[in-house]
Amino acid sequence: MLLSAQRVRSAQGLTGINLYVYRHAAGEWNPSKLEELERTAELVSQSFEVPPGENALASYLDVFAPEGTHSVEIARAAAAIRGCPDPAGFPAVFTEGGAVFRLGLGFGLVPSWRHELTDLVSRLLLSAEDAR
Amino acid sequence: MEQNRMSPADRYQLLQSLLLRARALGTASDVQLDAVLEEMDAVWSKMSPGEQLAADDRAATLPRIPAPDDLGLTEVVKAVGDHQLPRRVA
Repeated sequence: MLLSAQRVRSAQGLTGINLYVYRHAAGEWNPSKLEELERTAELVSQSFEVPPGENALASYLDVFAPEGTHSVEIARAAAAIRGCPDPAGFPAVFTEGGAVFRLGLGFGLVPSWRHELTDLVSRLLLSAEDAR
Repeated sequence: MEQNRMSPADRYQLLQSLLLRARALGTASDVQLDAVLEEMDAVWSKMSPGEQLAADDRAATLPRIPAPDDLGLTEVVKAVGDHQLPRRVA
């Protein structure tokens, strides 16, 4: 599965986090080929705090994990990533607990990347639970 | 409170990070940003010369023009069943 959260800002100045849940067909999990996982993922649900389309992104988080991965495992992986040293650059890719996290940030959010990771992954996990 | 147990240098770094984040997300008013800057000034005066030098060095590595759309990506509308991520290069 692929869970994607985007912190967006509309042209009218509205800000919020929009969420997207993708699924993979059985046997399509290969964490070393993220581009292929992106291409084969199928969008199954989405939820919006800001009406979607043409919003600027302030940040995004993509979580790639095998189908059926429990939210608790993703939360544990995120907690472990928060303990990592600062990455050399963004987007940053972290592999932890069988999942792959890709975090993209605008420059102003780089010093608080752990805070942003926490915000985005928390929203993603709520969305993933709702999609079950 | 936790902030009272922080050293002035740690408090300064936290305020600096909060300021950048608030500017980037546009979540704070000018009055709120001014209040953070005033506290940073007050904390600065409690830091040792070595801590001030380290803070200056760190500030030199921080982005100068944080903006909400710095990421250079735009959200795009997707429908259930689609196979692409909901973003593109702006």
